[in-house]
Amino acid sequence: MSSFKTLSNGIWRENPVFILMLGMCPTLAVSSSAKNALGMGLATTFVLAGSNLVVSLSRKWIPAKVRIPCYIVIIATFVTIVEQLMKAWAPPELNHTLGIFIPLIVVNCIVLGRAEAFASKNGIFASFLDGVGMGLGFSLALMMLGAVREFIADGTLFELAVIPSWPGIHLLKTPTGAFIVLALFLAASNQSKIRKCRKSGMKYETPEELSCRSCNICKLITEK
Amino acid sequence: MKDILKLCLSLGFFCAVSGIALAFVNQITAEPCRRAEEAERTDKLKLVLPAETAETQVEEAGDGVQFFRALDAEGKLLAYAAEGTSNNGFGGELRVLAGLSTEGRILGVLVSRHSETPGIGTQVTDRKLTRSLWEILAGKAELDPFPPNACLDSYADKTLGGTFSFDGANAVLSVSGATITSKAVLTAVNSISQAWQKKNSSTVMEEK
Repeated sequence: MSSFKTLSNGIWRENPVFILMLGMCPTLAVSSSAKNALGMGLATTFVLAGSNLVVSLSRKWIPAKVRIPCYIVIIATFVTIVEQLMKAWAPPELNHTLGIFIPLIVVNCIVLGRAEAFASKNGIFASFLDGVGMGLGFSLALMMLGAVREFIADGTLFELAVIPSWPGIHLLKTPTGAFIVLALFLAASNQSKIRKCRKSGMKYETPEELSCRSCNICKLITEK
Repeated sequence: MKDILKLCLSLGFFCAVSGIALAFVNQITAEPCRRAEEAERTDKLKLVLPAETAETQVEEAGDGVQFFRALDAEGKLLAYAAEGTSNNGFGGELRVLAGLSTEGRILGVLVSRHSETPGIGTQVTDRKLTRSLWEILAGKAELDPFPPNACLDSYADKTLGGTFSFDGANAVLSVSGATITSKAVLTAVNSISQAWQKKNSSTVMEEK
């Protein structure tokens, strides 16, 4: 795979939020405004790029049996570094809103997922690019959600009023709003995939994990 | 056996390296962290204290209320500030920062930390005006750093001592629909009032 493809892979084709569906917890929690989303996205990008680089660098010396603890130590180190840097230089308001979600990047499944699925098998440069790409994809997804939520809730973007005297739908700032907006984005993303398939003349098949074969909710209901 | 030793050593090696890295980062950021915290505090204090304030000093906390002294350029005591906490906000902890004259008159009140519901509780807690994109493009002036908030402003110019409530002669305002947040702000101000009385009675005792 070319370097550019590795980088762009995370941004669209395997976007962590819209396609891989990883890291949903911070996605829902911090996408309440574009500014929070940007802060969280950049912090995660730094951790992803750093941990991918170090994991790839030391992949030959990490024994397979203890690889997960080793990855977690590496990731936790980068997260603590980010936390310290943000405490020192980020605006205090951003620090308070992101609060607990910065330390929680340690258990964000994208970071461990990329270490395990990509960095442990690929070269240093490719792993670094993959980390940056995945991080940017995550930031982009978060910013899209954050911008939509902030705009509908307050009529502002990055805390600047775009439409003065916007009525304000504050539901969108609450977790409920996060679920609603995320669902609409996922629906749009799936629709575009279905349309692409139809255009190229292929039949769209629902992915295994979403199809009727592996879901037995209706079976449970009819059995009752 | 040999295998276990190898696993332990390699994991230990990673922990040691990460420990060294973190110690290094901690050393670099310790000073900026402290300065950022201090800057954040003085920025907020500036809003509730008189404009002539040149220096603020932290006093010892008592009963969960933190007092600050504001000194002017010559080192004369100008005013006090106090930060009180209530744990009964809709989203948990809520902190109120109040500027106080030396006689205990409230100069200004702001909510320094909260996690209230956006759009409901924040009607009580936020002193916030949003700048419009078009205003910035047109090069309009800066916003008032201390915008009005009817509920918080109803505390201003009242004198500490006794307890405040939503009715009676010394009444403060609340926002309907945000009763819990309004009450939490009230509780925090009352805790400041109590601590102020206690502080004053203890200084009088010392003087005697």
